[in-house]
Amino acid sequence: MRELASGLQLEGHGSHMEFLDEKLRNYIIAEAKTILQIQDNEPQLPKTLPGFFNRIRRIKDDDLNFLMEEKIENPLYLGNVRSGSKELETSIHVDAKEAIPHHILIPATTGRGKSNLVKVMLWELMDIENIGMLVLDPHDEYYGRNETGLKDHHNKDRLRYYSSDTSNIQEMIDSLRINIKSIIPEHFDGIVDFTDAQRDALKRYHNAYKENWIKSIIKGEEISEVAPKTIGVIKRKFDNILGIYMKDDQIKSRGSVFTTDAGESTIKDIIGHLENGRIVIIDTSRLTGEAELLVGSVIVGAIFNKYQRYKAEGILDEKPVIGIVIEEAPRVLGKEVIERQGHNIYSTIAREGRKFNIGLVAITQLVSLIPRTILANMNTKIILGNEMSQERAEIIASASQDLSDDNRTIASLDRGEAIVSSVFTKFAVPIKIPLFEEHVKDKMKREEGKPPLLSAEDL
Amino acid sequence: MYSFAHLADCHLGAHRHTELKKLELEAFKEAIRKSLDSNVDFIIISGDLFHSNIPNMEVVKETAKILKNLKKSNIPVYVCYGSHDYSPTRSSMIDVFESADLLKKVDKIYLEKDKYRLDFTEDQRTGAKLTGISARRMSMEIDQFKGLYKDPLEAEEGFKIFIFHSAITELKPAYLAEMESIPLNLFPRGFDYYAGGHLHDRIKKYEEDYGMIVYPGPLFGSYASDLEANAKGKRRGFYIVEFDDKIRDASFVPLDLVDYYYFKHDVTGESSQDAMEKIISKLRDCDVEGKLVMVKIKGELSSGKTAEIDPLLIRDLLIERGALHVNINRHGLRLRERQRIRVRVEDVPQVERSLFVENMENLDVLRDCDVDVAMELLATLRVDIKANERRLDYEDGMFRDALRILSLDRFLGDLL
Repeated sequence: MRELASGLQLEGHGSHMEFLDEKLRNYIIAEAKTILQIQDNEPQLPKTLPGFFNRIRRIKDDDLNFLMEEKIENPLYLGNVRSGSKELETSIHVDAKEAIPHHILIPATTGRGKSNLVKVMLWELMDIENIGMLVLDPHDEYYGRNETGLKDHHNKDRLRYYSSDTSNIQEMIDSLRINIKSIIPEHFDGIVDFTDAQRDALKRYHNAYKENWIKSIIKGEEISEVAPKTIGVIKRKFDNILGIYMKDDQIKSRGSVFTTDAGESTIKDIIGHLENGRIVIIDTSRLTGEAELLVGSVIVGAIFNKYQRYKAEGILDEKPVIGIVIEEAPRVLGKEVIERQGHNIYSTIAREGRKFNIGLVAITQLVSLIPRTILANMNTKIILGNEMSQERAEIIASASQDLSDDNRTIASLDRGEAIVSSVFTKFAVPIKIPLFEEHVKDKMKREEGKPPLLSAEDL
Repeated sequence: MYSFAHLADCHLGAHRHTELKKLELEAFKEAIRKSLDSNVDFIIISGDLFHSNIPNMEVVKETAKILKNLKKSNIPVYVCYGSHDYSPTRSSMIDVFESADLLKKVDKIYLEKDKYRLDFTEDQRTGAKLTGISARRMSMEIDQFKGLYKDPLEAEEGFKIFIFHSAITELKPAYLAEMESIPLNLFPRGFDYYAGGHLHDRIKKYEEDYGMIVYPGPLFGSYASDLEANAKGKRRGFYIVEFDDKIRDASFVPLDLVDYYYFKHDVTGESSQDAMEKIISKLRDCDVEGKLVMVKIKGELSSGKTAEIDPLLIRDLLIERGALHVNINRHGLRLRERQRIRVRVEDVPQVERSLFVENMENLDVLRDCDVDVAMELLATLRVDIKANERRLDYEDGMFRDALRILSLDRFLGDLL
């Protein structure tokens, strides 16, 4: 009766007609939206509605043959297609070398499976040649120090793990030690809140003392143009962020990450690994937020400069694509941060990285803090569940496809369920991301099932 | 209180010029003399005593004399292979000297159930326990570090020394970032002293959970870049370490064998003729008498030819003025129209590596190999025939080594 009343209204009969008891109904209404038209196995954006009385059925794997991974050159597996809560066999991939430089945004609230998704993605990336990934890991959860992690991958030679805590680890890991000589004033841009006078002082010291400029500040060596009070404040900030201070006329290091007597080659080593297409995890769990971002800033700044040079020399295409995984992205991509402290290397990469084959994989709970201009540059969004309506509105507004009808759907996405909205997919694809541990087991089983590689002797 | 001397990277036999040959040997003799004067109980040489695994016999003879004297004085010498004097078949001059009981290798390493086990060598007089891992070509010793059974090494009681010839990742200087290295966490913890070699820089650092890590650097310097660093003021030498149940002191003993003179000229914007005139005029006023002179000419000539910056003329002038030896570095010299620098490094091995990296694709024979293999092959093929060595033996040895490097030896077992 409700539909009958609607039909009569539509045809102009009885504009005030309405069904009195809306809840009285003994059937379910399914509202459908046309998202794709497939003709001869070729997907097209639909321009027309299906004809009246066409048969309706649930989607089947065969319908999605066009998504088969063979067609994608560097397939990065994200999960399987999901129809409602039902998981299909069809897996969803994006071309990693295209998607990463175009940036990937992973918005979700806590407990919806962000870390699990990133773990699955990184595991898959370990099998894709010529991609270097820098992972700033504030929870030390990707390497798998005490549980399954990337260290268990059969291609683990492509993995490098830097941590300030190397105890109780038998495998080869690298100590995260960065010599303060590797730091230049620009690395603090947008990371540490310095006043103009302080910023000017940093540059003057750098000009005067070159690579020993931080040491000179900490030692209290004076420069005529810089007020001693300013230097005092900077010294305190360096003490807080870098843990470097003076005691008994000697420079001491409180933490083990920023040092004066080791780690001279660490940044160059990391850059080398990335340029060799390795995945580099930096365990920043023992660092303050500012120190973590600074470590990232030093590395990312160096690789960005290098890739700019490669582009100028015309050899950029010979180099691996670089991805940077950053958690709590608004710390560096947030409107407020950028307005207050200016652009930092991360926001520069968000805006310009694509030209240099460098992209971000930005993870956040609060999309609304990131400016639209940056969101618009994030061309793949893997949307996990989100209860906050304001956040959903921002996600929907910046998605690559029209998700205006999916507000409630995003709110009700269960753990591990996601919607992939990307310029590289014809439509916003609902997916189910596998649980990392099960995915690893499954992958390992498949690896075991493969015939062994022929040795030189066999040949 | 006991003491030992820690030397590394002597690189005996590295130089071809008479004066430099004398100096490298003199550096070794002086280090031993000073060690004896300090009444050390033993001497550690952490790799690269020689510049090649079968060095020139003249160098061998002189070294044998020195080691024999140490033996007479009852001073044991503990060593590991370096990357230069390593032999995969354990048949280098180091092994010959060990067989003659002139020195002791401490790398007693065994493969046991997929793990490497290391035994200690105990110094009889002091009770110090020494062990270590030798270098192998291409830093392949990393596999031994990765598979090392560390628990028994860490559990061993007493004063312990770990001898090695590898760069430690965390301690590498920035300019050596591309050098293969071993992360510190692969080393066994809890040793009193880590006697390092391989880095041609002096490093002394106390490392929490580990102990004192020392790289003495070379005694003299085997490459032009080492000598250039010396000329700029870097001091070379070795360490004397005092200990009882732990380290009490580790002091650097410099070896100032020769005075250096460093001359640098940037030709940027000058014609070759102008540059040459300026260089000659400046050098005429320099006091180079009895000095080892390092000349560095770099920059972009505005006109003329790089060949017109005549090294022979410069060398003759300096020798005439009494220079002991002259080394001229013109790697950074270029013409304006040839701005692209193919290689940015100056060490011979680094230049070779860079050239391989650039040209690998064009070398048919090496297309499927990697740069390390190419480097190792080059190092092997450039070894000269030794005095009194039969050409047949020389060629046979070279053939075997080349096959081994190319991993072809297994297939041609019957032919060998």
